[in-house]
Amino acid sequence: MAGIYKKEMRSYFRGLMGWVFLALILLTFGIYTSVLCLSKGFADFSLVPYNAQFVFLIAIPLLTMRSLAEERRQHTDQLLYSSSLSSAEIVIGKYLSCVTILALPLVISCLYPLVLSGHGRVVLETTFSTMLAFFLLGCVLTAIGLFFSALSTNQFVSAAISFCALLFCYFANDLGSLLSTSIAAAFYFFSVLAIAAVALLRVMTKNWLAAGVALLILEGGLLLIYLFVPTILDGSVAAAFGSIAVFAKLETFSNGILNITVLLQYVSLAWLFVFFTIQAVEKRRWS
Amino acid sequence: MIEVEVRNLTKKYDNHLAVDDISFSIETGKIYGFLGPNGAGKSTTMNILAGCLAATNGQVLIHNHDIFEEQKEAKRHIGYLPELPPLYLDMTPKDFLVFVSEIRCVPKAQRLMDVSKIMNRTGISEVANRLIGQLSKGYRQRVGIAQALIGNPEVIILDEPTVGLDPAQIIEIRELIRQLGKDHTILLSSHILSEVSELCDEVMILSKGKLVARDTPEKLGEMLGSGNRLYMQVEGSEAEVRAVLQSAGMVEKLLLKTLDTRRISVELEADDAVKERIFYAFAEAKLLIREMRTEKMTLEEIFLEYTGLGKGDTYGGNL
Repeated sequence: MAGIYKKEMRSYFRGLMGWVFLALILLTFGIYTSVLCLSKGFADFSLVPYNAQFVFLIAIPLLTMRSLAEERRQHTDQLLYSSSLSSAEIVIGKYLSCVTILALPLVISCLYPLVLSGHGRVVLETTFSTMLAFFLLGCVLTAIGLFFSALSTNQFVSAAISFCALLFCYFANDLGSLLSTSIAAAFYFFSVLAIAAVALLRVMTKNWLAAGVALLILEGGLLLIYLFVPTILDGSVAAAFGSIAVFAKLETFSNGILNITVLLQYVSLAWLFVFFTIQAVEKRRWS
Repeated sequence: MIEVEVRNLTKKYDNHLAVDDISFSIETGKIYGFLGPNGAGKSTTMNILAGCLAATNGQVLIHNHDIFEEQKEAKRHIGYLPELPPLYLDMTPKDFLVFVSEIRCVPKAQRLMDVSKIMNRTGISEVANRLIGQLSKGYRQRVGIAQALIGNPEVIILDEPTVGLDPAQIIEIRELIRQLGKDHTILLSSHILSEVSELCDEVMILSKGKLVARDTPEKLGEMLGSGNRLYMQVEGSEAEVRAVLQSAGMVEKLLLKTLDTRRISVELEADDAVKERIFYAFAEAKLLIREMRTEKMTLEEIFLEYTGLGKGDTYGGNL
């Protein structure tokens, strides 16, 4: 794993991508620091990461697009598969290198509030908790980007799909609020979602029986809930969209709350997508 | 000692059977060749042996370790060069080989020494610090072979090691493989008959995912005839030409065709000695040879002959 990590780090900085990523994040942070803190005189540095989060929409796909897609295109994945490394070691090595590159500009940016605090009072607790949440948000998005990189052989396709997925997360709250909040609407929404999930299961396993059983269980369960305990479905669509809206969760931190639930959600989501990525690699390797 | 043992190996992609119930074993110190057209299942079998791909059915034992159950232990004994050498173009050969040593779990203290030894052996020391992306195909192939040698595995699998190289590079790579064959057991694949017969101690012919023959190149060669086909155009009547050829002892596999009143085309299997005999026989009979050329039997002809497929039969893959 250490071998993969070192190789990835070297490859990011030997090429353009590592530098472009660093420049993008530092530039955005620099602009917001000078506008919000220097020109407008806000003492709250947590506004900077809160406002700068959109940069992830572009920066994360750039960071992750090559990672696994390029290995497949160049056929270097065969080298990794024939080595002693497991799929998990390959994916985690790559993920950690992305996360390190993500951490670099954030560590540099953490110096800004320290410099500013020499010239007046800066709420450092809020600042650093927001920076931590911002970093973990980046970790979640990196895991999502890595997952899409594992699904494609073309790095640009993987970047485009990652961008769309991140954009969806970015606007998830707004999209959720557009949908009807009625219980019947929630039932239809989840029914469609279940059908989509079963279709995916059928494509991946090529097993009609498993897909059929899954469909029966999901739709049957939903119907039972709808008929007997419909209150569970009340507001569930908005809640579902809310759980995808990872960007919006950053707001609580810049309001000065150290929200442990959100931090745990970020860590679990990142872990979940790394796990999905490992499964995607494993499936390709063994099918 | 048996290095690799393959039992009833089968690989199915959706509805396509790529490898169909293959069983064979590989012994220490020999060079083995997989011969077969594209789509015969050579690469799939090699991918499975190297642990890059799962089998639908069957067992692969490498040094008595199951490649599916005890991957790490089994892979330690295998070096693999896929058809397209898996190289990072933005790395130098030296960095690349150190990286491969790392992912193959070569002890840290040994890595640099091993890499420099392998680079010397494969002749890439002089380009050790240039980017792989800037190297010629021949050098890239050498780097590919070098990475298969990392960790000093007993068995080296080379998938089409000379494909896409120019003639001079092909000769160099073949020489390198011959050298490596002294210390390692090698399994290589090729669709070039001469390459396999030149390098290998034993040849396995694959066709449509099945192992159809396994023998030494000499024995396969005997079975297939010399592999040379002689084309001639001679002035004379068919009876005269036939008489001369009979006097030279050539009666089998003879194809005579009358082109016009005094010109006959002759087609037969012949090596150099026979060719000489025929030439003098015609000279003695004072029949003018208008044209005389030998053509190597193509692999397609030999292969079709061997697998018993007629030319009109549809065959999956070109040869």
